[in-house]
Amino acid sequence: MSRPPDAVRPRIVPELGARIPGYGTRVAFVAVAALLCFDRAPNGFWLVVGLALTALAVAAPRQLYAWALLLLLGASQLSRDPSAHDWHFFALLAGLHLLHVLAALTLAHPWRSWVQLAAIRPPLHRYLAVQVPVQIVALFTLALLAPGPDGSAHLTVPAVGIAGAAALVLITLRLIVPMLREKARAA
Amino acid sequence: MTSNRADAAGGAGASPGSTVEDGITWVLAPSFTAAVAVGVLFAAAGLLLARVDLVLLALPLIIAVAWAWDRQPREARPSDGTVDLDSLANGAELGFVLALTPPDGAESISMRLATLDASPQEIVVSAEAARELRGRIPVLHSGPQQVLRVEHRLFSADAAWRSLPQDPLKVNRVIPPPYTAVSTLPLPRRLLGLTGTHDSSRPGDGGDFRDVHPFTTGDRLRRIDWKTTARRGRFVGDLYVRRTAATADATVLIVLDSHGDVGEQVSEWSRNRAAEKGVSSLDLAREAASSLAAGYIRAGDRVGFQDLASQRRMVAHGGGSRHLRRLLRAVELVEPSDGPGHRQRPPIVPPGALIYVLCTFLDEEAGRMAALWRESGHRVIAVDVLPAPRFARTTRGERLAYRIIIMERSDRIHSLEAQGVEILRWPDDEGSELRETRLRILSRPARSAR
Repeated sequence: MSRPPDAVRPRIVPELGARIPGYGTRVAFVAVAALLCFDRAPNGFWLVVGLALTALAVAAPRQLYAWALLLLLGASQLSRDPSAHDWHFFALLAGLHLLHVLAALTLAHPWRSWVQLAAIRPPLHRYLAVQVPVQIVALFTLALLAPGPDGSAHLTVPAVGIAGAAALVLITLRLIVPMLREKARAA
Repeated sequence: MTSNRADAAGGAGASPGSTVEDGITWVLAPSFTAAVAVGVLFAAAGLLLARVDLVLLALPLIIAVAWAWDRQPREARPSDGTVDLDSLANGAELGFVLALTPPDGAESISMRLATLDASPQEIVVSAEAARELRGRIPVLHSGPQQVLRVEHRLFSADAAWRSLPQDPLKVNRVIPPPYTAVSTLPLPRRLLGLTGTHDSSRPGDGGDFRDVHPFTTGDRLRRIDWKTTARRGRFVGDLYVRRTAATADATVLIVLDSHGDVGEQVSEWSRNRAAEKGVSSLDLAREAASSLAAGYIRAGDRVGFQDLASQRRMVAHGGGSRHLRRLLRAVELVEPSDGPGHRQRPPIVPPGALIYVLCTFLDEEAGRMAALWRESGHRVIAVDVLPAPRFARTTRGERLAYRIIIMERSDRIHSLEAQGVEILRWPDDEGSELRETRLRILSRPARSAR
């Protein structure tokens, strides 16, 4: 019951350990989105639209402008030829996924809150767990399927079809069959 | 450690895209739907336009939502929550341990922690950390209060599923006021007790030298003062004895007026928000009542307590350490009351008691009671517990209203002084005499008048 100074407001102090402010995910979203916007549309109308969508996504996350931005950035890939040597595509692949994760967290974290680092570690781990294989798959896929400078691809669609069918059989054997066995055992 | 257990359960009804079972309601987040839509659009566009790169852009989104769907929380058990409070250590903060056991599938928890009516502290913690979350709560006021209120909602992996806000956990506690036993004690005009630590005006045993008196029946032979007898005695049978004063205890009644509770921040007098108003008059009144009660009880006197606003909050006068604990508890439990503002008769007080009236003098009632007691012959000390004002964020109108109220209050205090009620200002303000000095002054006339 001591007499505090005028400006002091009473605040509960929880011991959170390592933490970031709630607007940290918004700042990260803006940084990633701005980098991708400048990369995909260095100037002109679409850059302005992209930056506007970024601002709206942060200001009103519940309106889902973030996923509209994802659509815009993904559509920008149409203006480029797919190539395994184009690092911009791989940056876009990583960036779009990261924007989705950050936008989902932005919806969950109040901007005036404190966020324990332990609370955002699992989504980032999952992000890495998805991105690493996806980037490898993208590299091989583009290397095999994307047309080279001479206009021909290393791998044709029938060959991919055979590989896909084999992959489906493998997945069925690995996932579906144990699941059916488990259901039968439970019944 | 004080334990307060409360269950937190989702109580809202079903909504589209939600899993509703007995306890908890899980709602699908719009981010999930949006990611599915974007992923499907990319994949469809890739197939239609024969662009493998667009299909690849859809791949991480589809995998992410599939993973989140797989981690969908299926347990409907509501969170169990308990809060353990530490004892008040330094008088300004209270430690707490919040233990929340979320249902399976919850990955992070968004919480709102609030004390009194202050703006809540929002935090997001992992489900693991919520099982034992420690923290500190600022203690702003004494008395009964809600020291902690915890609201929370749960999030699954990637915040794809979220629960509706759970029932809040509320922790109430009675905060004891800080006090120091008063060492300089004013006494009643007449001490009526038969034994105690104070010298009374009656002749008897235990006190200091009183006078020399002719021997009478009942005087003990060892009290005969032979020198005085030799000097004064005119006849053979004349004997003189040395008499001592008897000791007596004082009876003190502490009367507290709990009508209204104003803080030091004048701008909060109309809104009266506990978190914003600063030290309040009831904080000071509880501190003053506890300090006076402890001082008198330790001196061996008998103390009673009465709340002017409530007939129930009354402790009959008594002495001893157990009675002191009873008194302190009664003082702790005093809270602002909207009881009857006007009493026809003042509460009955023991004869010869010294009466302390603790109030702010912002209304007439307590002063009227003090004047009535004074008229009936009691010594009455009115303790002014209005905190020193602070004018942060006040408007010109509020400052003007404050001046008018304070002028009326000054008139009341002067009127009481004119009727013989003594005034003791409890807060140590700048520019006025210190409380200890004033208590010493108040202690003098009571002794000299005996």
